[in-house]
Amino acid sequence: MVPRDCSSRQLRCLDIALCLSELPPVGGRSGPSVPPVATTGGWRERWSLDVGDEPDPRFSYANERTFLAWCRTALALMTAGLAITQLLPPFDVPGGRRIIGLPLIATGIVLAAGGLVQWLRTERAMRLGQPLPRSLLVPAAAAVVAVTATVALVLVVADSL
Amino acid sequence: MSTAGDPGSAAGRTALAWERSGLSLAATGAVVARGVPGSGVANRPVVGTAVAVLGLSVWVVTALSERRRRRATHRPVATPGDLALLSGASVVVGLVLFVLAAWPG
Repeated sequence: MVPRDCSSRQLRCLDIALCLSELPPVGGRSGPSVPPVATTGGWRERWSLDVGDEPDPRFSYANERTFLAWCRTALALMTAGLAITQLLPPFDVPGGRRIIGLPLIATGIVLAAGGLVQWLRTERAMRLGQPLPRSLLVPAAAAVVAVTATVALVLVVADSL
Repeated sequence: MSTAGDPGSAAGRTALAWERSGLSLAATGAVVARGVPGSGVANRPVVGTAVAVLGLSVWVVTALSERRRRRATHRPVATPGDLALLSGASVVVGLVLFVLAAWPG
């Protein structure tokens, strides 16, 4: 088992190295002896989808649906945040509704943009045959919702005292 | 691997997901546009209508784009532009909602 692990790890590294070496250097095609210039064109190369091979369309569709789900989650958080600040009767604590609502709206904004970035990273990884990138969106969304719910609970309890 | 006949209904489920997402954005705009009596939202009909129109526009554009992609035979999945439109519109709506929530009335 150990040698196979080693070989697969080497293979993966080799794949990445090959993929990196196949990135076209700035200014058109050059020989492989010319290293790609990292300072210029790096952004375009790092986010381009013209790399690797097209994955199974079903995987692309699944990735797309994940992005859409993040968008809907973001919109739900935004709407909830607005409803909290506008609809709830005020708490005893001044500004209590905004303390709960504004972080939710801000999180929605981050998730709407982050979902797009995550979609792009995943699509690139699938095209290059690399392991899927880890997403910070999941722990971030969970943390914000948990903290906001805790604050809301404190406010409600403080009101009832 | 054959992709004929939409295995796993991947394309169909994705189309429905686009539909839900576009409608969510339009509905968010409608909430702001219609406002809530007695709240600060009702005092911003122009902003609310703008958000609703933005949401409906994105919904229509993504629905048309989705229909076009369904007819395409090669690479029928979404382009980054399709996703960026929905993502960008959601961010804009979020910023508007943040301003409305932070400074109501």
